[in-house]
Amino acid sequence: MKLSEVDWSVLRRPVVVLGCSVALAVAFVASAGYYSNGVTHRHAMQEGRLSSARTRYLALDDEKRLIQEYYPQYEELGQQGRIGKEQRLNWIETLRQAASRLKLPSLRYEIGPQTEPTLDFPVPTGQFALFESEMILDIGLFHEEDLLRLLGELRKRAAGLFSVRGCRLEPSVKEIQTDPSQANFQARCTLSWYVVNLRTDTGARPARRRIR
Amino acid sequence: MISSLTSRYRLARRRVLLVGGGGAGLFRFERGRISDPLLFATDEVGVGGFGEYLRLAPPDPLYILVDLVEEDFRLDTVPHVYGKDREAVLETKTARLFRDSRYTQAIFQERETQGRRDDLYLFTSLMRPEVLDPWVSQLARLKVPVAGIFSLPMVSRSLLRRIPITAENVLLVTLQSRGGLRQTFFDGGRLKVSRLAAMPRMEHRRVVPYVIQEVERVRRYLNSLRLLGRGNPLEVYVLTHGSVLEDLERQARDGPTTRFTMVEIDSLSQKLGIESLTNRDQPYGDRLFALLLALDPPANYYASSEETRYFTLRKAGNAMTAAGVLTLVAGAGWSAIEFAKGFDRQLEMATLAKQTAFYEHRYERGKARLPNLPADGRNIREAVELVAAAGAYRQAPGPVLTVVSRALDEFPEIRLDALAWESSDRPGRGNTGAAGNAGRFRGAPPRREPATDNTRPYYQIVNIKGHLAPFDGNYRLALERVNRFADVFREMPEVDQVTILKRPLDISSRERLSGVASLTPGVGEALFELRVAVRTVGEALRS
Repeated sequence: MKLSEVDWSVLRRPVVVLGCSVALAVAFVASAGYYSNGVTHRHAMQEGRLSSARTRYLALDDEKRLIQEYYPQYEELGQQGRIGKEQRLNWIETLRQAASRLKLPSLRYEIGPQTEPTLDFPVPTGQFALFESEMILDIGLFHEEDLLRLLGELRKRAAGLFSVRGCRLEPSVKEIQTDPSQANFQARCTLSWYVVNLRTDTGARPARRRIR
Repeated sequence: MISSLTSRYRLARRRVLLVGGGGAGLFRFERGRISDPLLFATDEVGVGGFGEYLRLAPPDPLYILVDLVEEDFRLDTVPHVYGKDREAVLETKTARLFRDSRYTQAIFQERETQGRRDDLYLFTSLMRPEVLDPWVSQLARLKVPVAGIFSLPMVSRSLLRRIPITAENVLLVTLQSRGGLRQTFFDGGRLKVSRLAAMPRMEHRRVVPYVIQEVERVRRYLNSLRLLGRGNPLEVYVLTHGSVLEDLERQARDGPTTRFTMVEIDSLSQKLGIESLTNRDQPYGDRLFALLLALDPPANYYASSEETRYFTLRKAGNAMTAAGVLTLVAGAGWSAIEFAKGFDRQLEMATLAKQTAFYEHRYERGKARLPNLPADGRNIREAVELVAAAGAYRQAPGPVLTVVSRALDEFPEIRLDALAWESSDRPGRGNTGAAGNAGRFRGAPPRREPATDNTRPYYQIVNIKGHLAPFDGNYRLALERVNRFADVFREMPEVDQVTILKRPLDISSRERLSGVASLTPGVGEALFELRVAVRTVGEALRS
């Protein structure tokens, strides 16, 4: 039977029934799919929250152990000025006391702004970062060993951690003087003062790229 | 499932229009029961009444069963061919046998065993198709779904199975209400010929002898056609009811050529699952054939596709409705399952939420017991490790100065003019300016490669400028002492590299050379410059 020969008046009701049924079925399936997808998504999120909460809870023991093991060291390092804010006043006072104790003919210092350097040795990365301040010392020395004594005094008494990046030592007179208030040698040293602190606690400049 | 469908089919409503000479009877079949016929004469009033009935009645499927004298049966052979050739041969043969008839049919009987081994066909036709026109036109006008036009002798074939009858040569005899005696002959279950004879008015005294006489006439006819095998008697089954049946049982006598078997029509009622097939003392088989057709309709026999158009549409409509219902049920079922799963997940989510709250509560309680810290334990550890890492790599001049001091101990004649050092990760690098170059905050810092592990060595590169004093102008000795001074550094295990940057006298052929060659003391200087790279990681940790 050709389509043109079909008497649609006979098929009207079945066509309507089929159309309505298909539409209803599609509506059922779509609504069920929408509902099911939504519930599945929320279920997955809830599972994630549970997993996270369980992990955090189970990690609490580790947290306790870490705190018991490291917090005393953390506090001690804080008292030593190696963690927390850098203590420039302490450095200056230590320099003055050392210069006085060693009877240095002259000692000039210059401290640069704090930066967060790109380090060339491996360090853990987290909430804490290592910050660096550069200090330049121009020292008049009666005896060359006074340089080592000065650095030793700094290491022993100053709050913080420093590394000597470089020094230049040369005689400042042709003939050695016997007057201890006169400098026989002149030294110029560059020190890096390091302090570990929370990234949010400092106004340090952004990381400085070291040029090779 | 199949039995359910079968029973549903038995319950479905349908109608059978039995068209005979002079009129038609309409049987309604519903819920396994068949009604008394509605009779319509073949005149204007009868056909009009039939149309009116169709207009008012529900549009149930209708089967047309023809029981007409005008139906002709011919046995003939055609060449044994296949496919379209067979269709063409049959069409040609049918057209030759029955001119001007649009209701024809050819039924394969068997293949001959001898000669050309042609195919034997039974050709049937309604010789006067216009007999059906009044009824068919009404049906078409009112869009009644006509399932087909069927031949009563063909329908009666199913009786052989239902009674059952297994004999070879069977003559099935029934009385028809329109005054006919239907005799149908089967050979081995295959319809061979059928005849409808006009019967005298319904008087027992005259009917029974007439039946016996007609049977004998047909037997002789079959014999003449050589349809009856020698020695095989004709098995005559008379299906009737009431007093006619009783009279026939008394009067019909078996002979060597004919054997009678009387079948009470009502005895088939139980087999056909119906209460009664007869009405009072009526001996007719009309209702039986109508029921057979309604219960077990064969494929359409005579009707054209145009005549069964509305039945086809009805089937298509039913299929669409069924598809729609199935789609709806499937969609609803799937949705129900998804909703149920979703509901289960929602219930499970409540449990998960409780478990989450439990762990969070325990976590918060545990955390409250911990001291108030600026960061968590992991970060505290990292801060401590960061300090340790920075401390491990810090540099101090102690090791370098110790090395230089040890070397100088062996050379009292060497005077230092300047000492500069800086840290580097490459022994060949370093500068001569040391802090002088490294100074000022925006200046270039010591150039160091990023370390990949904690064991990478670090160096302090020291530049030593000095001269020999006293110097008497003996450059050979001065060169020898400076070389020896450099060798002392090289012999130290912590020294990685020693380079003489400047000698007291440059005796290479590339440079200009000038001086004073007199023996006067104090003339000339023995200046030199060395670069020494000392490995310091390890030492630095101890500094």
